[in-house]
Amino acid sequence: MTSRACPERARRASRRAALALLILFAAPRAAFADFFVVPFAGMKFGGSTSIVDLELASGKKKLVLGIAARTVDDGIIGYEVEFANIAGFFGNAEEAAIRPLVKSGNYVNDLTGSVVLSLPPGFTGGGLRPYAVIGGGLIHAQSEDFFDVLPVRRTVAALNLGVGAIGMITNNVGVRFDLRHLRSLASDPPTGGVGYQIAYSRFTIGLLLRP
Amino acid sequence: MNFRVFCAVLAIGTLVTPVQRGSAQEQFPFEIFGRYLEPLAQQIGMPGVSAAIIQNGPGGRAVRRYNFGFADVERKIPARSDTPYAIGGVTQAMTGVLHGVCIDRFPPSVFDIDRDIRLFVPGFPVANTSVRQVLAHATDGRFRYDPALFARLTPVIESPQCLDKPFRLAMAAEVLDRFRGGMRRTVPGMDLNRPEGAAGRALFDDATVARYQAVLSELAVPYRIDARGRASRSEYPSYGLDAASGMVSTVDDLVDFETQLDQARIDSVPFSASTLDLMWRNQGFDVPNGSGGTLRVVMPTGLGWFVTTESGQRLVWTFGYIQDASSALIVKILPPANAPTDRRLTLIMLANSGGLAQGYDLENANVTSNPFVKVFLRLFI
Repeated sequence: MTSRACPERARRASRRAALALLILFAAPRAAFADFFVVPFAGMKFGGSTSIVDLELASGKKKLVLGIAARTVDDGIIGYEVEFANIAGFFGNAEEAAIRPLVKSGNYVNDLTGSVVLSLPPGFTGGGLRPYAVIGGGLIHAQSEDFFDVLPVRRTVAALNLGVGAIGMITNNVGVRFDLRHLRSLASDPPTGGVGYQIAYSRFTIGLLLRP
Repeated sequence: MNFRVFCAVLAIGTLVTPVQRGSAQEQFPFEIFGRYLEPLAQQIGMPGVSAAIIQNGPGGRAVRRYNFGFADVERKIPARSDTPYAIGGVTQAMTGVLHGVCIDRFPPSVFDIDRDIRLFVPGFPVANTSVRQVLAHATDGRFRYDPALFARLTPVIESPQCLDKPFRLAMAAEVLDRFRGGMRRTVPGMDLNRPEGAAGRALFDDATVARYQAVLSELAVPYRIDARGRASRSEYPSYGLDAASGMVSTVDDLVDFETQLDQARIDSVPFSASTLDLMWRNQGFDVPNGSGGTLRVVMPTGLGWFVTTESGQRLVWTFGYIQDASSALIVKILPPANAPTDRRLTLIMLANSGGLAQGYDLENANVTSNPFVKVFLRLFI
Protein backbone atom coordinates (compact mmCIF):
# COMPACT_ATOMS: atom_id res chain seq x y z
CA MET A 1 0.00 0.00 0.00
CA THR A 2 2.71 2.40 0.94
CA SER A 3 4.94 1.49 -1.99
CA ARG A 4 2.03 2.07 -4.46
CA ALA A 5 1.04 5.40 -2.90
CA CYS A 6 4.50 6.98 -3.18
CA PRO A 7 4.75 7.07 -7.01
CA GLU A 8 1.19 8.48 -7.13
CA ARG A 9 2.12 11.33 -4.83
CA ALA A 10 5.30 11.98 -6.81
CA ARG A 11 3.29 12.14 -10.04
CA ARG A 12 0.83 14.60 -8.52
CA ALA A 13 3.68 16.73 -7.20
CA SER A 14 5.42 16.81 -10.54
CA ARG A 15 2.13 17.77 -12.28
CA ARG A 16 1.68 20.63 -9.83
CA ALA A 17 5.26 21.80 -10.34
CA ALA A 18 4.82 21.71 -14.12
CA LEU A 19 1.63 23.74 -13.82
CA ALA A 20 3.33 26.25 -11.54
CA LEU A 21 6.21 26.64 -14.01
CA LEU A 22 3.74 27.11 -16.85
CA ILE A 23 1.96 29.86 -14.93
CA LEU A 24 5.24 31.45 -13.93
CA PHE A 25 6.59 31.67 -17.47
CA ALA A 26 3.32 32.29 -19.28
CA ALA A 27 1.63 34.97 -17.21
CA PRO A 28 3.91 37.97 -16.63
CA ARG A 29 4.55 40.01 -19.75
CA ALA A 30 7.18 41.83 -17.72
CA ALA A 31 9.44 38.97 -18.52
CA PHE A 32 9.79 40.65 -21.92
CA ALA A 33 9.99 44.22 -20.55
CA ASP A 34 12.94 46.30 -21.69
CA PHE A 35 14.52 48.94 -19.59
CA PHE A 36 15.27 52.33 -21.16
CA VAL A 37 17.02 55.47 -20.04
CA VAL A 38 15.33 58.65 -21.31
CA PRO A 39 17.28 61.90 -21.30
CA PHE A 40 14.88 64.69 -22.19
CA ALA A 41 14.63 68.43 -22.72
CA GLY A 42 11.74 70.79 -23.17
CA MET A 43 9.80 73.72 -21.91
CA LYS A 44 8.10 74.44 -18.61
CA PHE A 45 5.03 76.61 -19.11
CA GLY A 46 2.21 78.00 -17.04
CA GLY A 47 2.52 77.57 -13.36
CA SER A 48 1.93 79.31 -10.11
CA THR A 49 3.36 79.24 -6.63
CA SER A 50 2.72 80.59 -3.17
CA ILE A 51 6.39 80.09 -2.32
CA VAL A 52 8.18 83.46 -2.21
CA ASP A 53 8.46 84.54 -5.84
CA LEU A 54 9.95 88.01 -5.72
CA GLU A 55 10.26 88.46 -9.48
CA LEU A 56 6.83 86.93 -10.14
CA ALA A 57 8.42 84.37 -12.42
CA SER A 58 6.41 81.24 -11.74
CA GLY A 59 4.23 81.65 -14.83
CA LYS A 60 7.14 82.17 -17.22
CA LYS A 61 8.41 79.66 -19.79
CA LYS A 62 11.67 77.96 -18.77
CA LEU A 63 13.99 75.29 -20.12
CA VAL A 64 13.56 71.85 -18.56
CA LEU A 65 16.30 69.22 -18.58
CA GLY A 66 15.92 65.80 -17.07
CA ILE A 67 16.36 62.08 -17.20
CA ALA A 68 13.96 59.21 -16.74
CA ALA A 69 14.18 55.45 -16.45
CA ARG A 70 11.23 53.42 -17.66
CA THR A 71 10.17 49.94 -18.60
CA VAL A 72 8.76 49.35 -22.08
CA ASP A 73 7.01 46.14 -23.04
CA ASP A 74 4.01 44.89 -24.97
CA GLY A 75 1.71 45.16 -21.95
CA ILE A 76 -0.45 47.96 -20.71
CA ILE A 77 1.23 48.72 -17.40
CA GLY A 78 4.76 50.03 -17.06
CA TYR A 79 6.79 52.00 -14.56
CA GLU A 80 8.89 55.11 -14.65
CA VAL A 81 11.14 57.17 -12.42
CA GLU A 82 11.90 60.70 -13.55
CA PHE A 83 14.08 63.60 -12.45
CA ALA A 84 13.83 67.10 -13.96
CA ASN A 85 15.54 70.41 -13.35
CA ILE A 86 14.14 73.85 -14.14
CA ALA A 87 17.01 76.30 -13.80
CA GLY A 88 16.08 79.91 -13.10
CA PHE A 89 12.52 79.07 -12.08
CA PHE A 90 12.33 82.17 -9.84
CA GLY A 91 14.11 84.53 -12.22
CA ASN A 92 12.22 86.92 -14.47
CA ALA A 93 14.30 88.97 -16.88
CA GLU A 94 11.60 91.64 -17.31
CA GLU A 95 11.28 92.24 -13.56
CA ALA A 96 15.01 91.95 -13.02
CA ALA A 97 15.58 94.79 -15.45
CA ILE A 98 13.55 97.09 -13.19
CA ARG A 99 14.24 95.79 -9.70
CA PRO A 100 16.51 92.74 -9.53
CA LEU A 101 15.88 90.78 -6.37
CA VAL A 102 16.60 87.11 -7.08
CA LYS A 103 20.11 85.74 -7.43
CA SER A 104 20.94 83.52 -10.39
CA GLY A 105 21.31 79.88 -9.45
CA ASN A 106 17.72 79.49 -8.33
CA TYR A 107 15.96 76.34 -9.50
CA VAL A 108 13.18 73.83 -9.05
CA ASN A 109 13.81 70.08 -9.20
CA ASP A 110 11.25 67.33 -9.28
CA LEU A 111 11.71 63.63 -8.65
CA THR A 112 8.72 61.42 -9.32
CA GLY A 113 7.78 57.78 -9.68
CA SER A 114 4.85 56.91 -11.94
CA VAL A 115 2.75 54.12 -13.27
CA VAL A 116 2.60 54.24 -17.09
CA LEU A 117 -0.52 53.04 -18.86
CA SER A 118 0.21 52.45 -22.58
CA LEU A 119 -1.81 51.24 -25.51
CA PRO A 120 -0.47 47.84 -26.65
CA PRO A 121 1.62 47.90 -29.86
CA GLY A 122 -1.06 45.90 -31.70
CA PHE A 123 -3.42 48.81 -31.32
CA THR A 124 -1.10 51.29 -32.94
CA GLY A 125 0.25 49.15 -35.71
CA GLY A 126 3.84 49.74 -34.73
CA GLY A 127 3.52 53.53 -34.76
CA LEU A 128 3.69 55.89 -31.80
CA ARG A 129 2.25 54.32 -28.62
CA PRO A 130 0.22 56.77 -26.57
CA TYR A 131 0.42 56.53 -22.82
CA ALA A 132 -0.78 58.24 -19.65
CA VAL A 133 1.18 58.54 -16.42
CA ILE A 134 0.10 59.06 -12.87
CA GLY A 135 2.43 59.19 -9.94
CA GLY A 136 3.84 61.13 -7.08
CA GLY A 137 7.09 62.41 -5.72
CA LEU A 138 8.81 65.51 -4.49
CA ILE A 139 9.35 69.05 -5.76
CA HIS A 140 12.31 70.94 -4.34
CA ALA A 141 12.51 74.73 -4.77
CA GLN A 142 15.60 76.79 -3.99
CA SER A 143 16.18 80.49 -4.37
CA GLU A 144 18.10 83.32 -2.74
CA ASP A 145 17.48 87.03 -2.94
CA PHE A 146 20.25 89.60 -3.16
CA PHE A 147 19.68 90.89 0.35
CA ASP A 148 19.29 87.45 1.89
CA VAL A 149 15.93 88.40 3.35
CA LEU A 150 13.63 85.64 2.15
CA PRO A 151 15.69 82.62 1.13
CA VAL A 152 13.71 79.66 -0.19
CA ARG A 153 14.75 76.09 0.43
CA ARG A 154 11.63 74.00 0.38
CA THR A 155 10.70 70.42 -0.51
CA VAL A 156 7.07 69.47 -0.90
CA ALA A 157 5.19 66.29 -1.84
CA ALA A 158 3.74 66.43 -5.33
CA LEU A 159 1.30 64.76 -7.70
CA ASN A 160 2.32 64.04 -11.26
CA LEU A 161 -0.10 63.56 -14.18
CA GLY A 162 0.70 63.36 -17.86
CA VAL A 163 0.15 62.00 -21.31
CA GLY A 164 2.53 61.28 -24.15
CA ALA A 165 3.65 58.86 -26.82
CA ILE A 166 6.70 56.73 -27.51
CA GLY A 167 7.99 55.24 -30.71
CA MET A 168 10.99 53.00 -31.40
CA ILE A 169 13.28 54.07 -34.24
CA THR A 170 15.58 51.05 -33.91
CA ASN A 171 15.66 48.20 -31.43
CA ASN A 172 17.82 50.31 -29.12
CA VAL A 173 16.70 53.87 -29.74
CA GLY A 174 13.30 55.50 -29.56
CA VAL A 175 11.68 58.85 -28.99
CA ARG A 176 9.29 60.11 -26.31
CA PHE A 177 6.93 63.07 -26.43
CA ASP A 178 5.66 63.95 -22.97
CA LEU A 179 3.22 66.52 -21.60
CA ARG A 180 3.07 66.59 -17.83
CA HIS A 181 1.55 68.56 -14.99
CA LEU A 182 3.06 68.62 -11.52
CA ARG A 183 1.31 70.02 -8.49
CA SER A 184 2.33 70.14 -4.84
CA LEU A 185 0.05 68.47 -2.34
CA ALA A 186 0.78 71.04 0.38
CA SER A 187 -1.99 73.35 1.49
CA ASP A 188 -1.78 77.02 2.36
CA PRO A 189 -3.86 79.25 4.59
CA PRO A 190 -7.14 80.14 2.90
CA THR A 191 -6.06 83.71 2.20
CA GLY A 192 -3.27 82.75 -0.18
CA GLY A 193 -0.18 84.34 1.21
CA VAL A 194 3.40 83.09 1.13
CA GLY A 195 3.25 79.36 1.55
CA TYR A 196 4.05 75.95 0.13
CA GLN A 197 2.13 75.47 -3.08
CA ILE A 198 3.72 75.12 -6.47
CA ALA A 199 2.35 73.87 -9.79
CA TYR A 200 3.59 73.85 -13.36
CA SER A 201 3.34 71.98 -16.64
CA ARG A 202 6.05 70.94 -19.04
CA PHE A 203 6.36 69.56 -22.52
CA THR A 204 9.50 67.57 -23.24
CA ILE A 205 11.00 65.44 -25.97
CA GLY A 206 13.25 62.58 -24.94
CA LEU A 207 15.36 59.83 -26.44
CA LEU A 208 14.72 56.25 -25.33
CA LEU A 209 18.10 54.58 -25.06
CA ARG A 210 18.62 50.94 -24.18
CA PRO A 211 21.54 50.88 -21.74
CA MET B 1 44.41 132.82 -6.89
CA ASN B 2 43.74 129.63 -8.84
CA PHE B 3 45.42 127.62 -6.12
CA ARG B 4 43.12 129.22 -3.52
CA VAL B 5 40.03 128.37 -5.59
CA PHE B 6 41.31 124.84 -5.99
CA CYS B 7 41.81 124.54 -2.20
CA ALA B 8 38.34 125.94 -1.51
CA VAL B 9 36.71 123.52 -3.96
CA LEU B 10 38.72 120.68 -2.47
CA ALA B 11 37.68 121.65 1.08
CA ILE B 12 34.00 121.99 0.16
CA GLY B 13 34.15 118.73 -1.73
CA THR B 14 35.71 116.98 1.26
CA LEU B 15 32.98 118.32 3.54
CA VAL B 16 30.08 117.64 1.23
CA THR B 17 30.95 114.25 -0.20
CA PRO B 18 30.77 112.18 3.03
CA VAL B 19 27.39 113.75 3.88
CA GLN B 20 25.98 112.73 0.51
CA ARG B 21 27.42 109.25 0.83
CA GLY B 22 26.07 108.87 4.35
CA SER B 23 22.66 110.04 3.22
CA ALA B 24 22.62 107.58 0.33
CA GLN B 25 23.63 104.78 2.68
CA GLU B 26 20.84 105.69 5.07
CA GLN B 27 18.31 105.77 2.24
CA PHE B 28 19.38 102.40 0.89
CA PRO B 29 17.33 100.10 3.17
CA PHE B 30 14.26 102.32 2.71
CA GLU B 31 14.66 101.97 -1.05
CA ILE B 32 15.14 98.21 -0.83
CA PHE B 33 12.08 97.76 1.41
CA GLY B 34 9.97 99.31 -1.33
CA ARG B 35 11.38 96.85 -3.84
CA TYR B 36 10.23 93.90 -1.74
CA LEU B 37 6.86 95.35 -0.80
CA GLU B 38 5.30 95.35 -4.24
CA PRO B 39 6.07 91.79 -5.41
CA LEU B 40 5.12 90.35 -2.03
CA ALA B 41 1.79 92.20 -2.01
CA GLN B 42 1.21 91.22 -5.61
CA GLN B 43 1.98 87.56 -5.02
CA ILE B 44 -0.33 87.41 -2.01
CA GLY B 45 -3.01 89.02 -4.14
CA MET B 46 -3.48 92.16 -2.03
CA PRO B 47 -5.39 94.80 -4.00
CA GLY B 48 -3.95 97.75 -2.06
CA VAL B 49 -1.36 98.56 0.58
CA SER B 50 -0.31 101.84 2.16
CA ALA B 51 2.81 101.84 4.31
CA ALA B 52 5.38 104.05 5.96
CA ILE B 53 8.64 103.66 7.80
CA ILE B 54 9.44 106.30 10.42
CA GLN B 55 12.92 106.82 11.69
CA ASN B 56 13.23 108.86 14.86
CA GLY B 57 16.63 109.53 16.25
CA PRO B 58 19.21 112.08 17.25
CA GLY B 59 19.33 113.33 13.66
CA GLY B 60 15.61 114.09 13.61
CA ARG B 61 12.67 112.37 12.03
CA ALA B 62 12.52 110.82 8.58
CA VAL B 63 9.43 109.27 7.05
CA ARG B 64 9.37 107.16 3.93
CA ARG B 65 5.95 106.33 2.48
CA TYR B 66 5.01 103.47 0.16
CA ASN B 67 1.78 102.89 -1.68
CA PHE B 68 0.83 99.95 -3.86
CA GLY B 69 -2.34 99.09 -5.75
CA PHE B 70 -5.81 100.42 -5.24
CA ALA B 71 -8.13 101.53 -2.47
CA ASP B 72 -10.93 100.76 -4.93
CA VAL B 73 -9.95 98.43 -7.75
CA GLU B 74 -13.15 98.84 -9.77
CA ARG B 75 -12.97 102.64 -9.74
CA LYS B 76 -9.16 102.66 -10.05
CA ILE B 77 -8.68 104.84 -6.96
CA PRO B 78 -5.06 104.38 -5.93
CA ALA B 79 -4.01 103.54 -2.39
CA ARG B 80 -2.46 106.63 -0.79
CA SER B 81 -0.96 107.58 2.54
CA ASP B 82 -4.17 109.40 3.43
CA THR B 83 -6.47 106.55 2.39
CA PRO B 84 -8.62 105.56 5.38
CA TYR B 85 -8.54 101.86 6.31
CA ALA B 86 -10.33 99.89 9.01
CA ILE B 87 -7.47 99.07 11.40
CA GLY B 88 -9.23 96.43 13.52
CA GLY B 89 -7.08 95.24 16.42
CA VAL B 90 -4.67 98.19 16.22
CA THR B 91 -7.46 99.84 18.21
CA GLN B 92 -6.11 97.84 21.18
CA ALA B 93 -2.87 99.81 21.08
CA MET B 94 -4.93 103.00 21.33
CA THR B 95 -6.88 101.47 24.21
CA GLY B 96 -3.52 100.83 25.85
CA VAL B 97 -2.77 104.53 25.45
CA LEU B 98 -6.09 105.47 27.09
CA HIS B 99 -5.26 103.25 30.05
CA GLY B 100 -1.85 104.91 30.18
CA VAL B 101 -3.56 108.30 30.37
CA CYS B 102 -5.57 107.14 33.40
CA ILE B 103 -2.50 105.56 35.05
CA ASP B 104 -0.65 108.83 34.59
CA ARG B 105 -3.51 111.12 35.56
CA PHE B 106 -4.85 109.45 38.69
CA PRO B 107 -3.15 108.06 41.78
CA PRO B 108 -3.38 104.29 42.39
CA SER B 109 -5.99 104.93 45.08
CA VAL B 110 -8.30 106.12 42.28
CA PHE B 111 -7.26 104.07 39.25
CA ASP B 112 -5.16 100.95 39.64
CA ILE B 113 -4.80 98.45 36.79
CA ASP B 114 -4.02 95.73 39.31
CA ARG B 115 -7.57 95.86 40.62
CA ASP B 116 -10.05 93.13 39.74
CA ILE B 117 -11.74 93.99 36.47
CA ARG B 118 -15.09 92.92 37.99
CA LEU B 119 -15.03 96.18 39.93
CA PHE B 120 -15.54 97.89 36.55
CA VAL B 121 -17.20 95.06 34.62
CA PRO B 122 -19.24 92.94 37.04
CA GLY B 123 -20.10 90.40 34.36
CA PHE B 124 -16.51 89.69 33.31
CA PRO B 125 -16.43 85.92 32.67
CA VAL B 126 -13.15 85.06 34.47
CA ALA B 127 -12.85 85.58 38.23
CA ASN B 128 -9.79 87.06 39.94
CA THR B 129 -8.55 88.83 36.82
CA SER B 130 -6.92 92.25 36.97
CA VAL B 131 -7.27 95.00 34.38
CA ARG B 132 -3.54 94.59 33.73
CA GLN B 133 -4.05 90.92 32.85
CA VAL B 134 -6.78 91.72 30.34
CA LEU B 135 -4.65 94.47 28.78
CA ALA B 136 -1.83 91.92 28.38
CA HIS B 137 -4.08 89.15 26.98
CA ALA B 138 -3.20 87.12 30.07
CA THR B 139 -6.63 86.61 31.58
CA ASP B 140 -5.91 83.34 33.36
CA GLY B 141 -2.25 84.09 33.92
CA ARG B 142 -1.24 82.55 30.61
CA PHE B 143 -0.95 84.36 27.30
CA ARG B 144 -3.94 83.88 25.02
CA TYR B 145 -4.85 86.48 22.40
CA ASP B 146 -8.56 87.06 22.88
CA PRO B 147 -10.05 90.25 21.39
CA ALA B 148 -13.49 89.42 22.82
CA LEU B 149 -12.16 89.59 26.38
CA PHE B 150 -10.09 92.66 25.53
CA ALA B 151 -13.28 94.39 24.31
CA ARG B 152 -14.60 94.12 27.89
CA LEU B 153 -12.12 96.88 28.81
CA THR B 154 -14.44 99.46 27.24
CA PRO B 155 -16.35 100.16 30.49
CA VAL B 156 -13.04 100.51 32.37
CA ILE B 157 -12.20 103.58 30.27
CA GLU B 158 -15.74 104.88 30.66
CA SER B 159 -15.75 104.42 34.44
CA PRO B 160 -15.62 107.44 36.83
CA GLN B 161 -12.24 106.17 38.08
CA CYS B 162 -10.75 106.58 34.59
CA LEU B 163 -12.00 109.00 31.90
CA ASP B 164 -15.66 109.09 32.87
CA LYS B 165 -17.03 109.54 29.37
CA PRO B 166 -18.20 107.32 26.51
CA PHE B 167 -15.38 105.36 24.89
CA ARG B 168 -15.69 107.17 21.55
CA LEU B 169 -15.45 110.56 23.20
CA ALA B 170 -12.50 109.41 25.30
CA MET B 171 -10.73 108.20 22.17
CA ALA B 172 -11.44 111.47 20.35
CA ALA B 173 -10.42 113.70 23.26
CA GLU B 174 -7.32 111.87 24.52
CA VAL B 175 -5.88 110.47 21.29
CA LEU B 176 -7.28 111.93 18.08
CA ASP B 177 -7.51 115.59 19.10
CA ARG B 178 -4.57 115.58 21.46
CA PHE B 179 -1.92 114.01 19.29
CA ARG B 180 0.17 116.10 16.95
CA GLY B 181 -1.50 116.88 13.67
CA GLY B 182 -4.92 116.21 15.18
CA MET B 183 -5.23 112.83 13.41
CA ARG B 184 -7.85 114.51 11.23
CA ARG B 185 -8.59 111.44 9.12
CA THR B 186 -8.98 108.99 12.00
CA VAL B 187 -12.52 108.04 12.98
CA PRO B 188 -13.71 106.49 16.26
CA GLY B 189 -16.00 103.85 14.80
CA MET B 190 -16.74 102.28 11.44
CA ASP B 191 -20.47 102.73 12.01
CA LEU B 192 -20.66 106.53 12.16
CA ASN B 193 -22.07 106.75 8.63
CA ARG B 194 -24.44 103.81 9.05
CA PRO B 195 -27.96 103.75 10.49
CA GLU B 196 -26.77 101.66 13.46
CA GLY B 197 -24.28 104.41 14.37
CA ALA B 198 -26.92 106.95 15.42
CA ALA B 199 -26.04 106.71 19.12
CA GLY B 200 -22.38 107.24 18.30
CA ARG B 201 -23.10 110.27 16.11
CA ALA B 202 -25.16 111.85 18.89
CA LEU B 203 -21.97 112.15 20.97
CA PHE B 204 -20.33 114.63 18.59
CA ASP B 205 -21.22 118.04 17.18
CA ASP B 206 -22.46 118.29 13.60
CA ALA B 207 -19.18 119.52 12.15
CA THR B 208 -17.25 116.64 13.70
CA VAL B 209 -19.82 114.10 12.52
CA ALA B 210 -19.64 115.57 9.01
CA ARG B 211 -15.85 115.28 9.06
CA TYR B 212 -15.98 111.68 10.25
CA GLN B 213 -18.56 110.77 7.64
CA ALA B 214 -16.51 112.40 4.88
CA VAL B 215 -13.55 110.23 5.88
CA LEU B 216 -15.70 107.08 6.04
CA SER B 217 -17.05 107.78 2.56
CA GLU B 218 -13.48 107.35 1.32
CA LEU B 219 -12.85 104.16 3.32
CA ALA B 220 -10.85 101.67 1.26
CA VAL B 221 -13.08 99.08 -0.38
CA PRO B 222 -12.63 95.69 1.31
CA TYR B 223 -11.53 92.60 -0.64
CA ARG B 224 -11.47 88.88 0.03
CA ILE B 225 -8.42 86.93 -1.18
CA ASP B 226 -8.97 83.30 -2.07
CA ALA B 227 -6.48 80.44 -1.76
CA ARG B 228 -5.19 81.13 -5.29
CA GLY B 229 -4.43 84.75 -4.50
CA ARG B 230 -7.41 86.22 -6.35
CA ALA B 231 -9.18 89.20 -4.83
CA SER B 232 -12.92 89.79 -4.94
CA ARG B 233 -14.96 92.60 -3.45
CA SER B 234 -16.46 91.96 0.00
CA GLU B 235 -18.24 93.88 2.75
CA TYR B 236 -17.18 95.24 6.12
CA PRO B 237 -18.99 93.64 9.01
CA SER B 238 -21.32 95.84 10.99
CA TYR B 239 -19.12 97.05 13.84
CA GLY B 240 -19.10 100.07 16.08
CA LEU B 241 -16.19 100.82 18.37
CA ASP B 242 -14.95 99.11 21.50
CA ALA B 243 -11.64 98.62 23.23
CA ALA B 244 -10.61 95.83 20.86
CA SER B 245 -11.59 97.02 17.40
CA GLY B 246 -13.45 99.54 15.28
CA MET B 247 -11.08 102.44 14.58
CA VAL B 248 -10.50 103.79 11.08
CA SER B 249 -7.21 105.52 10.29
CA THR B 250 -4.66 106.41 7.65
CA VAL B 251 -0.94 105.84 7.38
CA ASP B 252 -0.36 109.59 7.70
CA ASP B 253 -2.33 109.78 10.95
CA LEU B 254 -0.64 106.68 12.36
CA VAL B 255 2.72 108.27 11.54
CA ASP B 256 1.66 111.17 13.78
CA PHE B 257 0.38 108.76 16.43
CA GLU B 258 3.65 106.81 16.52
CA THR B 259 5.80 109.91 16.37
CA GLN B 260 3.96 111.41 19.33
CA LEU B 261 4.42 108.24 21.36
CA ASP B 262 8.14 108.28 20.58
CA GLN B 263 8.23 111.89 21.70
CA ALA B 264 6.36 111.29 24.98
CA ARG B 265 9.72 111.04 26.74
CA ILE B 266 10.30 114.69 25.88
CA ASP B 267 6.90 116.40 26.11
CA SER B 268 4.95 113.89 28.29
CA VAL B 269 2.07 113.84 25.80
CA PRO B 270 -0.07 111.81 26.16
CA PHE B 271 1.66 110.58 29.31
CA SER B 272 5.00 110.43 31.07
CA ALA B 273 8.04 108.45 30.01
CA SER B 274 7.58 106.05 32.94
CA THR B 275 4.03 105.20 31.81
CA LEU B 276 5.28 104.73 28.26
CA ASP B 277 7.90 102.30 29.58
CA LEU B 278 5.20 100.46 31.51
CA MET B 279 3.00 100.18 28.42
CA TRP B 280 5.85 98.81 26.31
CA ARG B 281 7.32 96.51 28.96
CA ASN B 282 6.67 92.77 29.09
CA GLN B 283 4.09 92.12 31.78
CA GLY B 284 4.70 89.30 34.25
CA PHE B 285 2.23 87.46 36.46
CA ASP B 286 2.56 84.97 39.30
CA VAL B 287 0.69 81.76 38.60
CA PRO B 288 0.41 78.67 40.86
CA ASN B 289 3.19 76.17 40.12
CA GLY B 290 1.23 73.15 41.32
CA SER B 291 3.26 72.57 44.47
CA GLY B 292 1.83 75.34 46.59
CA GLY B 293 4.17 78.05 45.34
CA THR B 294 3.99 80.49 42.46
CA LEU B 295 5.80 80.82 39.20
CA ARG B 296 6.51 84.15 37.48
CA VAL B 297 5.31 83.97 33.87
CA VAL B 298 6.42 86.75 31.55
CA MET B 299 3.99 87.56 28.75
CA PRO B 300 4.92 88.52 25.17
CA THR B 301 2.74 91.57 25.74
CA GLY B 302 2.78 94.96 27.36
CA LEU B 303 -0.42 96.95 27.90
CA GLY B 304 -2.35 96.71 24.64
CA TRP B 305 0.81 95.97 22.65
CA PHE B 306 2.88 92.90 21.86
CA VAL B 307 6.44 93.13 23.17
CA THR B 308 8.87 90.55 21.82
CA THR B 309 12.60 90.31 21.15
CA GLU B 310 14.27 89.58 17.84
CA SER B 311 18.04 89.45 17.32
CA GLY B 312 18.52 91.24 20.62
CA GLN B 313 16.23 94.11 19.65
CA ARG B 314 12.99 94.87 21.46
CA LEU B 315 10.00 94.87 19.14
CA VAL B 316 6.79 96.59 20.17
CA TRP B 317 4.00 95.79 17.79
CA THR B 318 0.32 95.43 17.16
CA PHE B 319 -1.83 94.08 14.38
CA GLY B 320 -5.40 94.24 13.16
CA TYR B 321 -7.40 91.83 11.11
CA ILE B 322 -10.99 91.97 9.88
CA GLN B 323 -11.78 88.78 8.03
CA ASP B 324 -12.00 89.18 4.26
CA ALA B 325 -11.89 92.96 4.61
CA SER B 326 -8.75 94.57 6.01
CA SER B 327 -5.57 94.18 8.01
CA ALA B 328 -3.04 96.43 9.69
CA LEU B 329 0.38 96.16 11.22
CA ILE B 330 2.58 98.44 13.29
CA VAL B 331 6.04 97.24 14.30
CA LYS B 332 8.50 99.36 16.28
CA ILE B 333 12.16 98.51 16.73
CA LEU B 334 13.16 100.04 20.04
CA PRO B 335 16.73 100.60 21.14
CA PRO B 336 18.07 98.62 24.08
CA ALA B 337 17.23 100.14 27.48
CA ASN B 338 20.83 101.30 27.99
CA ALA B 339 20.80 103.34 24.79
CA PRO B 340 17.68 105.48 25.03
CA THR B 341 18.83 108.04 22.48
CA ASP B 342 19.42 105.53 19.69
CA ARG B 343 17.25 105.63 16.62
CA ARG B 344 13.74 104.15 16.69
CA LEU B 345 12.19 102.67 13.62
CA THR B 346 8.52 102.07 13.05
CA LEU B 347 6.83 100.21 10.22
CA ILE B 348 3.18 101.00 9.58
CA MET B 349 1.20 98.98 7.04
CA LEU B 350 -2.50 99.13 6.21
CA ALA B 351 -4.35 97.01 3.65
CA ASN B 352 -7.89 96.60 2.32
CA SER B 353 -7.63 92.80 2.50
CA GLY B 354 -6.55 90.30 5.12
CA GLY B 355 -3.14 89.83 3.48
CA LEU B 356 -1.06 91.44 6.24
CA ALA B 357 -2.36 89.15 8.97
CA GLN B 358 -4.29 86.08 7.92
CA GLY B 359 -2.33 82.89 7.57
CA TYR B 360 0.50 84.08 9.77
CA ASP B 361 1.04 83.34 13.43
CA LEU B 362 0.57 86.84 14.83
CA GLU B 363 -2.03 85.71 17.39
CA ASN B 364 0.68 83.62 19.01
CA ALA B 365 3.01 86.59 19.31
CA ASN B 366 5.12 85.47 16.34
CA VAL B 367 5.57 88.64 14.30
CA THR B 368 8.43 87.26 12.23
CA SER B 369 6.02 84.83 10.56
CA ASN B 370 4.96 87.80 8.44
CA PRO B 371 7.13 88.23 5.30
CA PHE B 372 6.83 92.04 5.32
CA VAL B 373 8.13 92.12 8.89
CA LYS B 374 10.91 89.71 7.94
CA VAL B 375 12.04 92.12 5.24
CA PHE B 376 11.78 95.11 7.57
CA LEU B 377 13.80 93.46 10.34
CA ARG B 378 16.40 92.03 7.99
CA LEU B 379 17.02 95.41 6.36
CA PHE B 380 16.92 97.58 9.48
CA ILE B 381 18.28 95.50 12.39
